[in-house]
Amino acid sequence: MSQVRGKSYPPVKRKKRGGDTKAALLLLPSFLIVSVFVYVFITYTIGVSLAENWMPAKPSMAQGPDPFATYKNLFENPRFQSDLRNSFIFTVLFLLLTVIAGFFIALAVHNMGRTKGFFRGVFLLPYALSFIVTGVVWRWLFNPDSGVNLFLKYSGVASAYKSITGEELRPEWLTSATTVGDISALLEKIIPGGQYIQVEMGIPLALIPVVIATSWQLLGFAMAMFLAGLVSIPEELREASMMDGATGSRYYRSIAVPMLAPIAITTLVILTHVALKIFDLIYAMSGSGIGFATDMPGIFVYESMYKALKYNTGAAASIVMLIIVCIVVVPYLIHSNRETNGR
Amino acid sequence: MFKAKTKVSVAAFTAVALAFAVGTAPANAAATGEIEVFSWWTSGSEDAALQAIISAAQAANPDLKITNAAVAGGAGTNAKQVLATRLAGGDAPEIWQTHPGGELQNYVEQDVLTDMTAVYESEGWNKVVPKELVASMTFNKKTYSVLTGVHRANTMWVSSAAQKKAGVSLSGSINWSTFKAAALKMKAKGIDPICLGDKDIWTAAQLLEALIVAEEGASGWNALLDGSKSWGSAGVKRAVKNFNEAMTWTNADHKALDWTGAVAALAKGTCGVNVMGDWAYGELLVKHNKVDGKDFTYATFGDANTFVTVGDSFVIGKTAKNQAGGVAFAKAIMDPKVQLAFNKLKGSAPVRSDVSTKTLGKYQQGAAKVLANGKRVPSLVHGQANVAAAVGQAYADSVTLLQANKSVEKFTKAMDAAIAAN
Repeated sequence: MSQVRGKSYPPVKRKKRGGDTKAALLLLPSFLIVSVFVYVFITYTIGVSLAENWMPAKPSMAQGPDPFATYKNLFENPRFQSDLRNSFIFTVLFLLLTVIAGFFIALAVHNMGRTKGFFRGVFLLPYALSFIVTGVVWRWLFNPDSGVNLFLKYSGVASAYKSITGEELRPEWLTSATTVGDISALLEKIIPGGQYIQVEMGIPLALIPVVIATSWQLLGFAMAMFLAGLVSIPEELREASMMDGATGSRYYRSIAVPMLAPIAITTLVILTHVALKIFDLIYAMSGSGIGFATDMPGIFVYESMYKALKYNTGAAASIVMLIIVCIVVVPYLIHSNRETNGR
Repeated sequence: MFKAKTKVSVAAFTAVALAFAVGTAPANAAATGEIEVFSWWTSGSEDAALQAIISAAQAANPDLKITNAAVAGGAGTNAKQVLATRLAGGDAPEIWQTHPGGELQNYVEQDVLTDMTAVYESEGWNKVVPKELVASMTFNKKTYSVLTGVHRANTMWVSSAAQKKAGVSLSGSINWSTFKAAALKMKAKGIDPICLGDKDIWTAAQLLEALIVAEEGASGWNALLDGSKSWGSAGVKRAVKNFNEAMTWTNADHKALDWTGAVAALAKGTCGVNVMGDWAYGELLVKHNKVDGKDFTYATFGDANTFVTVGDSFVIGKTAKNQAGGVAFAKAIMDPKVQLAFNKLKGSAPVRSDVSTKTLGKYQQGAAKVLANGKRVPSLVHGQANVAAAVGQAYADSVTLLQANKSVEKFTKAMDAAIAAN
């Protein structure tokens, strides 16, 4: 794979030092602005999260006897535990669905003839919608009395299911309070402090409609990324592999997929940070859900700050969110930084 | 940073100077200058009601320039967010909306509100506003806000069509066994006994609140809030059990609807009753063209003479420039004529007990009577109780968990812990 890349992207020569100084001068204003509005405020937020009682008009950074008490309470809070669970499960399911479906749709669209442009547009369109619009529409689609269930009923699927199993097919979707695959008991044994787990560590079924709606919206993005990758694979490689006797599927397995790996990684990282920070779509679609089945750290931060007026709790939760996003993004940045520096 | 500080101190200096000026100005002089009125009232009836106050304040103070700075969205949460930023920046509006109780207390702790005790005394408001309501706006013997009107959170709206079909009659004070009997009859006729739209948890939390107040009574509810009574009491346990049972009688799509969806279902008659604040009254009359007494009636879980209050109040920013303008606006809010005009549009009951309510709707007249003469208790769901806003959030979170785990014990323990941490 590295050989292939070596061929298509010849290593860039390092520019002279003078260029560096000019670039630095050009970057300085935005560097200063970013420093203040991102890094200074991150530091400030850490301060708020450690303070005992920070309030907007009384911004006291005074700390209580235990500055980390807010964090301790946060991790003991059943709601925040649910949020971390949901965030993890949502991210995994959403990535699987979006990346796999996005890849196959890209393959299909790539091999279309004259209708290619049309189908590209069809799959890309949802990406242009606002998360709020998607949330409201899919709320109605997954309402147990309308949308998908009506489709099941009138298409005959529901009655066929009933005649086979004898049971009613009427999924509860967003209104389900069921969590499947609970591994809390196992976690309690293997993790020190596991006895603090107060929620069922499984997959809340109500999350699945949310995953479907979010994937529907971002599928177009994943498809566009893969399409761009497929287009950039030189045609000669395909012809050469065919000459060597590779079948269509062999070509994809041994050549196209490995060459798309860097694109897949970029797509994964971008989608992961979308998933970890998701707020508006879920807020509009299902809110917190029964027993916080669809609650997310973002919703928790918002409600802690402006409903409960617990600014330090909200700040602590947002710092936890930041750390989780960093765990995903920082290795990627380091990796891509190394690559652009010619390794 | 430096600049902001200078701005704050200049504003504070101006405020002090102006406060002094107000103190020495003749009592009935009209206010001048500019004021900014900050609220989250942007939708139809709310905006119209707010305009009624603004035009009255304008008529009384012709030289006062009034700016309506309403922020839409999130049942006030968006507005609170904007306000928090402005307070942090030392740029307080003259008048802003807040709930009495915990939310008001939070502002008092930040020392950003003008004390209105003297105005309450000079205008005689203490005599006409029910004492529990004054108490919910008073901290350290200082009163900080004025109420535009009071909504009732524990009204049970009953569909006449559903009652007729099931052959039941629900009115006045209703205890659980009466309700259960009626609910089972409705269910037998294919009607969901309870209309609910709890995509946002407060509607379910409000139903449970009504059930707890019914079991515990006014004094029991107050004792639960001030921590003198444990939430593990027999009354709360009964109420939570009733709530769990009630949740099996709701419309199946309750988690996908908001409160307006539940009211719409009630108007259609596909479900029986909806426990909802009386902002549903306007929704039923105007949006669904239903007739009070004919298409729907009302009842109360427990004592019909107990009124769970949800007041809308306005405060004056301490660091705002035009203190006299703020006081003039507060006086306009409390004017008996304005109280009547406002509440006619908003659907709530006037906070002044000396306002004639004859021109209000039939339901509102009854509500105003109970507010003036009945037992008044604050709504925890709507942040009206004198407990920190975090207790209200803990209650909402506990109800969310209760819907999934159905555990009476976990609920009562979580609430005891929340009150103890208050």
